[in-house]
Amino acid sequence: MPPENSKLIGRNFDPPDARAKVTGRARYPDDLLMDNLLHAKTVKSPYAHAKVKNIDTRPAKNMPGVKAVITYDDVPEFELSSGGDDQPGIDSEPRTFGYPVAAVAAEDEYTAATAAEAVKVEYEKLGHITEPTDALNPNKPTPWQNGATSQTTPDRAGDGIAGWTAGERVRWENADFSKLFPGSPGKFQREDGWGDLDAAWKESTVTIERSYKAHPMTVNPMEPRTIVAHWKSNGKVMLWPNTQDCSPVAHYVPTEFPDMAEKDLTVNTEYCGGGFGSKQQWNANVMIALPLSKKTNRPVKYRGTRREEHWYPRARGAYVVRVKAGFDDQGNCRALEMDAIGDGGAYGAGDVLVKGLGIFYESGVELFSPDALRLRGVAPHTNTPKKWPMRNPGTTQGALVLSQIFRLAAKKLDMDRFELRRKNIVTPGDRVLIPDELGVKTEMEDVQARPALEQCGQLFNWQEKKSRSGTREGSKIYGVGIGTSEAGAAWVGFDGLVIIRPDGMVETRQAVGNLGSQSHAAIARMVAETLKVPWDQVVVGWGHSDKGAYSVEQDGSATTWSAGLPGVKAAENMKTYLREIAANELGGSPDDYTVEDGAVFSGANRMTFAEAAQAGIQLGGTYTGEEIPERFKPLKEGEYERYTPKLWAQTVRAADDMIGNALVAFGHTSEADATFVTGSVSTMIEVAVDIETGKVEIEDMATVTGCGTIIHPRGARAQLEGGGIMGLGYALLDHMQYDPQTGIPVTNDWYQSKSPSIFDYPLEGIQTGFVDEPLEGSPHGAVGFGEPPMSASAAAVVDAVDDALDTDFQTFPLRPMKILQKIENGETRVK
Amino acid sequence: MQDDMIRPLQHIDANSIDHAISLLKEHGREATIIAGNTDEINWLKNRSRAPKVLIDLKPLGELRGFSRTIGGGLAIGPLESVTSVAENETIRDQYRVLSAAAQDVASLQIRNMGTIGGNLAQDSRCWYYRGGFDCYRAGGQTCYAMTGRNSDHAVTDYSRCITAHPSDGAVALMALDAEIDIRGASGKRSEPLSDFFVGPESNITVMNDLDRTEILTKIRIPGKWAGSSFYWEKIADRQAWDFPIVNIAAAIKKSENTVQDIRLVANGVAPTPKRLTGAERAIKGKKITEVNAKEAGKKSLPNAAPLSENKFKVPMTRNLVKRALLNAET
Repeated sequence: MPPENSKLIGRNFDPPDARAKVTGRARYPDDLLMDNLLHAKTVKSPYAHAKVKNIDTRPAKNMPGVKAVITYDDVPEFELSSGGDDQPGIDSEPRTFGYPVAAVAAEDEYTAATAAEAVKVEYEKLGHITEPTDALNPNKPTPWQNGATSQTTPDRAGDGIAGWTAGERVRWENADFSKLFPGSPGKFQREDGWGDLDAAWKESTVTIERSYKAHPMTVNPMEPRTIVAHWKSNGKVMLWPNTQDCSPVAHYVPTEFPDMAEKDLTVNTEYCGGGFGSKQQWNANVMIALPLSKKTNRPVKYRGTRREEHWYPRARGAYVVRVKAGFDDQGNCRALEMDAIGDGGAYGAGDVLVKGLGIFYESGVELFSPDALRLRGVAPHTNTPKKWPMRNPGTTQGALVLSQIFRLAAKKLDMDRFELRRKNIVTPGDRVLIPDELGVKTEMEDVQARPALEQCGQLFNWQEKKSRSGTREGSKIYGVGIGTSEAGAAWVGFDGLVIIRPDGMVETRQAVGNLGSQSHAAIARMVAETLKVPWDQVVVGWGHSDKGAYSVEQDGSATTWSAGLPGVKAAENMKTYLREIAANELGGSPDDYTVEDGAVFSGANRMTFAEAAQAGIQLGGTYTGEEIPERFKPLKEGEYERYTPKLWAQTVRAADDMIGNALVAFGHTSEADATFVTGSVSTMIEVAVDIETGKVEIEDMATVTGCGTIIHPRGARAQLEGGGIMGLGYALLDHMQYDPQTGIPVTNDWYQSKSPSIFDYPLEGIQTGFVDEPLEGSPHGAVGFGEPPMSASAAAVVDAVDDALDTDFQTFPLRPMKILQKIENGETRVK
Repeated sequence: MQDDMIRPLQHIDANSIDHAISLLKEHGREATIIAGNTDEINWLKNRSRAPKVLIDLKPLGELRGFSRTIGGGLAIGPLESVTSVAENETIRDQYRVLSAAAQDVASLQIRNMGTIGGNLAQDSRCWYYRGGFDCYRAGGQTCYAMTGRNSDHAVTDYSRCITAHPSDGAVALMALDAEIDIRGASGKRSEPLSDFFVGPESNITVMNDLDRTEILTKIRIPGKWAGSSFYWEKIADRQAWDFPIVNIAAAIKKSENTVQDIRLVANGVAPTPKRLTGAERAIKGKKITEVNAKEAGKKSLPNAAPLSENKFKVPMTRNLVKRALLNAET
């Protein structure tokens, strides 16, 4: 239900990009055609791991139409994220099949492809591994000549809180690798926890301990990652990076190119055909297109392909975990141990160590709320694509596993699974972890996990459905399952920008990306609601670094809160300006005035936004951005300060064309606004497992989000359904597989990696619901929740299959082959 | 390793079957034919194959159409789309197993483009072979699947190559005892569809017996099985755009629940569509009961030698045979 007095929040609308998308007017990077456009192709390693001994680019350089050839000597290494180990765009030691060792730019794509094939490369083939546990095994090949894991190591300060620094790479010399999770493990790269574990184990009457392996998955966005770059001779650079982020790309890419100034780089991410996290920040192909363009001063397009999506991008990695949980006889979790080996892929495994494992641990803590906790982890490299990030990274792998712990515990405790989960799930005030800040425990500010679970139970009719558990009709056995998941969604340090033009139109200028989640539009709705302005009077801006306030990456389920709050703050500042201008023009006190319906008024005194803007332009100063309020003092170009109270330089630049010509209001979030809130999702699924074929049919599925106020019901429903289907795909179908002998992927296409089709979930639809109550400290009471639907449905469907067969699986996905083999092995209730 | 980039080639629309054959003869190994082009195009885009001449059969009306034959059978032009086969009324009425199989091929889009002839003549879907590995089938000296990822591969009748045949249409048509007509530079010939498919023990680099100048010109279904009891089921990981893990087609003639005659065919288990003769023999002359159906299922793959990852295909086939016998309907 829309909140009382709301005109826009909680009501459906057509997102401003929808019409362009369905009519084909939306221009994605691959649609860009320019005069003088060059086409790039890469020379790819035919081995999973090799060293280039010699490379001869002359045959390509001498080819008519070829304008530039670059190798690993021409590109700077760069740090994709917090990985610790840099990832070069082109590598002299390619560590995964298909990784580029050189690139060419030519007048047309065919010439570029032929030229790339003409480059002569002599490789020294090196040993490879594709399983993360193998990286720790001293008897297996090293996936990288520099070491088997990242160097990232906690750097513990006196208070126990750790930063991250370069340290020792690890291998487990004396471990027993015959077990799924190696026995007698060696040194972990991160350890954390709280409470008296020994005492908690003693108080536990039921203990469950299991090891599992969650599998790797190709992200497979609809649009392969095509990039266009134009480094002009005047030093200006245009970049269409095909990412889901905008502002951070514009800020951080110049830090990799000493001769590129931040003010000279324009980043356009108006349209991006999906990314699911894997197009976070920028893709490694930036380091191909930009150097080629710099060399030629011509626009360069590097068209991504479906096969390259399997060879070269970021993906979801395998997690091998050991979980031990102890419960008292009332079902309260007293002790929890989570040991994890997270596949970091070929490059920057520190990302998985710091963030991926951190999020996995966070998800466990929020499900179990343990009194005592021990977390240990290591993130080795493998000779597979970089493994960070993808939709609830870590949590989704963990979801497969942790749901099974609950099921086994409930069975031993003779408790209903719903009750056991309800008892332990995170509630406001519970102690939680900040995933990437080792040692930091904080308090959950507000969370709707329990109400979402309870509402889902009603929607699904859990109590009735569970009575069908284990019953058989013909060759089908029924089972029901529960999954719950969270995603932290509130980051600070970003800007908002709202403009009212002399014609009265309101512009919301946020440089967030547009990967398809519609969160860029949700922000604009919140701004418009704050100003109580009619929607047709609003011009929504997004995805352009020169035309939008410095905004959060569009990932981590964070945009709604983290770009929404600074936008709302800018709108509130704008309201103040409008009242002051009206009082100045029409008399009375600013506090007397109301802002609504595109006007500011007090009794008979009334000004339209157009009139107020025109009056404000006469007054100038802070109203028009000619003076920036002291509290915002902007950073200099290229400058960065964490949690700064200052505006980013990009934000001020984005207002340039309107300064002095319109009302200009800024907003900003700083550390004072920081909070810990999450978007929550609960999912319940009934399956019918065909014991003769191993096929799983989804009989019924209900999913409910507790993410505060619903901004856009139709968009929220789409997130719940889409994420839920993706989770079904991960648990049942989708699998990135490699040939163990060569390390080369055998899944190279959609039909091989097997994303779920429209026929792989209930045709009659998925039941959806919203808690739809405001969350404390959130803009209009809302947070994002793009990620948890995937983890929740993956957990629920695994739980349901287990329930049907009265078993538990250690490896995934649960394709017919795995289920039927389990039945054949006599490891289920089917005798 | 360039992909999604077809090498330059000459595309020629054939204007008659003879024209197509003469082009194939003229260009030899430099030519390939396309019709629906839902299979060949992948090879071309991945630059694994680089024909200089592409001979397009699409304009050939003489390769289209459905017609009744003497004896109450049906002839199908191999250029008919898989969708048109699925929707043909005669097939729906008389040979329902074929319409059901056609309906399960790939996805709606591929069924609309792909032809029934192409469905029969399609190449191996082994992910090593498709992935550019230098395996036996690709002219190399090893089979990577044998010791690698082999969950999708054959469990019986394989030799050095362990690919599993992927066609759905072939299984239904073999259950209907279809025959095919072929024309080439050496003239015309006809053969049972079951003889069309070539296993690796005979020729490891091909999936059928078409020579370089030959074209499939007709698919003929005899009247014998019209209106029989039929069963079709395809087990795939996904419900659309997927190849069979195992599929099964059954055509059964019954008298008071006793099997008089039967043809059971499965794919996904061998390099060619597999006639399950052991199961057929086990049930022929017997009443269809749960016990007899189960016993017949046990006889379905007597020489099965599954690999490290595909043992499950044996019970899956066994169970599908049982289901086919118990659930076949007119």
